Amino acid sequence: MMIENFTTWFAMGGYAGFIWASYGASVLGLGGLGVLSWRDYLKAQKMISKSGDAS
Amino acid sequence: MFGFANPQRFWKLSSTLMPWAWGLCALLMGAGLYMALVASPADYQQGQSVRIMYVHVPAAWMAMMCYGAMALASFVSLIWGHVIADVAARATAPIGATFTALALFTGSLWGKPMWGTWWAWDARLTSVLILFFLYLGYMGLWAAIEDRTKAARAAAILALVGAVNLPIIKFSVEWWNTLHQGSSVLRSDGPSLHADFLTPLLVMGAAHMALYVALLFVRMRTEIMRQRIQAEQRRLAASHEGAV
Repeated sequence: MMIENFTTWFAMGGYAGFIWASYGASVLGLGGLGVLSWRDYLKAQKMISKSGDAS
Repeated sequence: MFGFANPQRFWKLSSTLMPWAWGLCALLMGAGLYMALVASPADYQQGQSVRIMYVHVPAAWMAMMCYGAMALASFVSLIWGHVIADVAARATAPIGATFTALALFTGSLWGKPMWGTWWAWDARLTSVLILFFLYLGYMGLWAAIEDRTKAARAAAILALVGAVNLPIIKFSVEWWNTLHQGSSVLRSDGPSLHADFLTPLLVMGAAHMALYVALLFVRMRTEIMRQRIQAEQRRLAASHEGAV
């Protein structure tokens, strides 16, 4: 019953491809930007602490 | 307001606000996604495809809002020469470009089942595509010009000139006959959407706004640290030359 409900919900009335692609792209785009931004942030923090150690 | 234009004050303020912005973003995004994908009803005409609206419209709002913020920061930078305004404008550009790309992509995915086409050269779609190119041009100028001051000036001028596109995007659906529908939320006579659709849309809009603020803090702090590193490297190079 639950699986059937889930399948119906996932099918999104026949628009699953369009809807999930939209949400997937949003998660990938914004999530990717978030990950890249944090990676650059941590990298810069590491370099600051390194330069602090050197001086 | 200009009190916060001091990098040290901004650093302190953002240290406090950044975790809150991320927390608020996670909370609103979780609630918004539940409302958008599970709790909200299907539309009587568009069926379940209306759910694309909950990612498409906030992305489009943020695309314009980010450009407005970038143009305002550029104006402050050009007139008053505030360093933090440059940093804010530069940090906003990739975020705005991502929102614009998502608005175009999700709009295309919504257009196919509703209009029968992925793309049409109508005024709204074309002006948003121009907005995307403006973001790319802005980032391109920063990347292409080595001198920071010159790059900031050139990019700020482009951002200000490009701001003329914002009212064109907003009113394109009124000025021209477009395939794209008219405004249904930001209207002078109030939203035309039923609360069942409006509530999840506003929650998702707030979630996107919180994400922008959180990302802006991260990117601005990164840029400030980069500038400190570059200044330190220049100081070391100068002292090394002095010693030789």
